[in-house]
Amino acid sequence: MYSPFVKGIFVGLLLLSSCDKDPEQQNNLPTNPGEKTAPTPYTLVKPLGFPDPYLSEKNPMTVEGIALGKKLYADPILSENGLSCTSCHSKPRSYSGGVYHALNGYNMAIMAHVNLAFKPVFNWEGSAPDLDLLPLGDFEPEFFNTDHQKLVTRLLSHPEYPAMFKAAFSINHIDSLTFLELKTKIAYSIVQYLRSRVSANSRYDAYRVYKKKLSAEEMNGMAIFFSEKGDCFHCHPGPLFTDNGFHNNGLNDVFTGFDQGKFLVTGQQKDMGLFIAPTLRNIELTSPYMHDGRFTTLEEVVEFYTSAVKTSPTLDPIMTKRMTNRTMQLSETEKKELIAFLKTLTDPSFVE
Amino acid sequence: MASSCEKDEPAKTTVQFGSMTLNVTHKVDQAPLLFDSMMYQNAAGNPFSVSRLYYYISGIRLYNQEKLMFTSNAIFYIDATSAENKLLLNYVPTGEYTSATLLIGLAADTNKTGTLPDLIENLNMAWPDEMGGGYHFMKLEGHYRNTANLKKGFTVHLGTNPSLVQHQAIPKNFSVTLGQNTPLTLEMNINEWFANPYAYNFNTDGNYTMGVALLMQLISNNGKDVFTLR
Repeated sequence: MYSPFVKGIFVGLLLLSSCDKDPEQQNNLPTNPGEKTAPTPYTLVKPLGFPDPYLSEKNPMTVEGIALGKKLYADPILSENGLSCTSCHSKPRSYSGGVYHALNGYNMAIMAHVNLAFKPVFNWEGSAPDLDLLPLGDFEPEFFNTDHQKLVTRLLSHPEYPAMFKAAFSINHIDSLTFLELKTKIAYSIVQYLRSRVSANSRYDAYRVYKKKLSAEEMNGMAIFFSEKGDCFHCHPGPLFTDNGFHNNGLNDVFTGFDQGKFLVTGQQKDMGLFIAPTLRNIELTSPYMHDGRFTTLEEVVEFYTSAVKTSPTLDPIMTKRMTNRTMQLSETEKKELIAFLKTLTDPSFVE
Repeated sequence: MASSCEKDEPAKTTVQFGSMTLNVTHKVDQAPLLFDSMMYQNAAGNPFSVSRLYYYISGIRLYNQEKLMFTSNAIFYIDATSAENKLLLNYVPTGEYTSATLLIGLAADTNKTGTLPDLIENLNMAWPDEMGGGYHFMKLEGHYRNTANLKKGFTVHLGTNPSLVQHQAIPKNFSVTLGQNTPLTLEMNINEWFANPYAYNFNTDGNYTMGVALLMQLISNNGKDVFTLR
């Protein structure tokens, strides 16, 4: 689920303005006045300490919409090539999926679908402000290569989807929708499902409410994480373990291609090399790390912050300490402790 | 009957209220604050830019001469990168005023982990329990040029109760009238964080204050005169 082309997103917005005129009302009026037409509203329960989620007025969450989205998310029925969303966002990897080698030459780590309801902007470089529209890019030839008529045929002949579209969006005739209208409803349902997917059931969460103890090693790691020794918390504060902000964390001192980060979106030099801080929830499962997936292990990540931060004009001030670049100066034992703490953020129930 | 009763009782004083709006703005000496622009210089001669500035204002008090007329319980989060930071004070007694005081940060009874609502800005201002708990009072971050003319980062963070900035009286004559809003501008001069009484030098004092009690105290002392009212 990646749309690197900002212009494409704006085109989508313009086109959608015309189809937002309730196409189902135009083409899919209920045939039986007595039958249930309105889907059941779904209330997202935010975990202890979490901020309010970013919800969508144009795409309110419903029980039926989430059910449809859940099924479509894992179903290759959307593509002409056997791919589904979960081909790249795989469950065991907390819905991340290695490095994607884009046609434009960019190598980018596939971001984990974790706690998306609590994010205001999407993609590493922040190119997607609207989660509801983000899946539209997946129907393009580079990804699903979806054929409208073939998709309609597959959906209509499916034993469950026609009824599920009807329950979720009051769509009686899938074949009466334009391709954009159909893609939009599919995207909306998938996004409803993703917004419902909240990870807050890790051992760290249990520790927070005094239900479980952490080991001495993990506690030492937590002290490193939440103190100046590691100084991880400024960009990855709890309970989201991201500040939802953009940072140049010193991976590069020369910026080309995807390494330019937020600059690709804004064109402003101050944004050169900045990327959104990803959540560290389930970080144990989401290798490889950084925007380009250059690190395979958490050990490599910790070693980078210990000894390899590079200076550049936009290096985040947070990455500077005591007159020099950040060097955590952790002993080998402390590095292991920090990683042990990071692994307490793993939520097994999220990937069951 | 009513008139005779009124004659026998002491005169009742009815407090009447207006409101105020403080428009918070930021400058560096006389220059407007432009983010990420290495165009400023502090009292120690360090060229610097500002990337981020977040802080809390609380405990606003309004005075007429020495008499305390109004106390606000509100806590305001300021993101200087926002286009607008307007602080609305309701139920301000009508009358004449001569000065204001405020806190930059949170008083001790509020500066405890989890006291503020779970908004992303408050979560991002959390001061870890491992370092004493509560909240950052201020994050002022940017870059400076060191003695070798290399661009380095600085992070001036304030937190923990001893670093609370109790701003000195800010003189300003103004009136609050019944049912009316009185607008004023509350202007921060960022260079005052680096001067008066101490000329803070990134090269010799340090470019990172969090958890360094001495440096936070120096900055906190400097912060007592960063605001003016106009």
